[in-house]
Amino acid sequence: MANNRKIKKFRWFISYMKELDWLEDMALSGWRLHDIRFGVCYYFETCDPIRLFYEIDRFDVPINPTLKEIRNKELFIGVAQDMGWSVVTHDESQNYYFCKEYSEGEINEIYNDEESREQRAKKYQELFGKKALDLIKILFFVSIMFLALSFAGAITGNKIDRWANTFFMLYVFLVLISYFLTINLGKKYYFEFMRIRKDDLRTSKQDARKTVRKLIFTNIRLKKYLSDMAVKGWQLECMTATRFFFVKEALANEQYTMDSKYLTNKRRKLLGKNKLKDMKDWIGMNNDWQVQSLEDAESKGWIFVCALENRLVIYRNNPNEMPQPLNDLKYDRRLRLISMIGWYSAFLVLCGLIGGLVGGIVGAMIH
Amino acid sequence: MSDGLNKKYIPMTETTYYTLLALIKPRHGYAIMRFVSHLTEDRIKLGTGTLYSMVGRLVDDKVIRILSAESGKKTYIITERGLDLLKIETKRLNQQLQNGMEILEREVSRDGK
Repeated sequence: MANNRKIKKFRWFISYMKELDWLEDMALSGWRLHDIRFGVCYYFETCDPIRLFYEIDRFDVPINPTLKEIRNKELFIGVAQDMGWSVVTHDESQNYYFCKEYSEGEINEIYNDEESREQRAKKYQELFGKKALDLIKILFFVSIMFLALSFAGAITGNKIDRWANTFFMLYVFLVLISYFLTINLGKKYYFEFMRIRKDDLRTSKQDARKTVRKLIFTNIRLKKYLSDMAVKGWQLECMTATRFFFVKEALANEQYTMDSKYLTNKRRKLLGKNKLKDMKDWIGMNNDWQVQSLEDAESKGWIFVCALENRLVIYRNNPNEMPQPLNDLKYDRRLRLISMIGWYSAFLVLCGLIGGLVGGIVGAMIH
Repeated sequence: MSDGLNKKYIPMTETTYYTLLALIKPRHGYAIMRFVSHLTEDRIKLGTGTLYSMVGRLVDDKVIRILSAESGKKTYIITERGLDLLKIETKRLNQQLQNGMEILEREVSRDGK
């Protein structure tokens, strides 16, 4: 090309898909990627505006790679080139960028089915899992160093400086935060790579979903909140202790109800049956009650919506028929603390409180 | 040895079956993809990722082998072992098909009464 101009752009993407989409847009406006430095500096060359598809992949080898794993990259690139993909470049963390001209009626993705898509998604999740583990390994060594320093200080009588302690605690804190962030990032990439490119971000159904952060402390509030949302056209999809995930549905006059182990046992008691109890179940993992609850609810005309672990089940009614109330209305005003955090967490909180109290009293007495 | 291979490959996935069919003649990656989508009237579209992992596995198990490699473009062909597998699988599929047809026919005629 006569006027082969080059430009440099600085961009920083967390999402790979957004990055690839941006690269596609650049190609549509006549800029073809030819290099990436430091993950933020993109070099482009002029080209005729074409529809280019970009893909990203990586070829990590394990600690003791087999012959096949060593040749993996070469083989993969061979097959990819055969299928019309070319390697554009790779970045500092060994992500390889592939591109291919879009052609109608052919496959324009490297990974075009569920199974193969999962391979790459797992690759990225494992990578971030490994990174997170490395953080912990470093933390381990730094801890040993500090421990040795402290011992040395204790023996020689030189107390380790207060600032050093502060620094160490801060360091531990930051490493732990980065650990969780890295793990979460790995999860995010997993879901990102599992999605089909075409129905990605551009045509996403973001506005058909809604997440609400809310703390609701009583059963009646929970029921009312969910029914109110249903009237506004938002149907509950699933929930956690503090978050509610809704999907857009046609307006419906739905009622919601919730059930927990406590309430299930109350119902059983009313019928003269034994309480569902498992003495070996220390941390609240036995979910026999959920089976019972489902049976009861379905016989009374309720439909399962979602469950939060082993803590509660949410039901809604069929809009055409009026269900019988699942539980006595007198339980409506009770706190739903256990159904929010679970028995085990409640137990731990209690232990913490008692421990704190005893410690405080003992401390005060010694003084 | 070949017993383990039978266990691994029979029943065979549809994509593996068609790939082996394609490799009765020497073909490279893109040609396999074209052959399969032509044969199945575009129902099965082998993508790069699928093709790569499948061909890698098949070469590993010596079901197919690399015939020639020129400048990164590899041509593959089926081996004796692969051919045996293909025959066993075809036989199995034939039985499956016949069972299906027989029972469906019987059920349909009973429903017709």
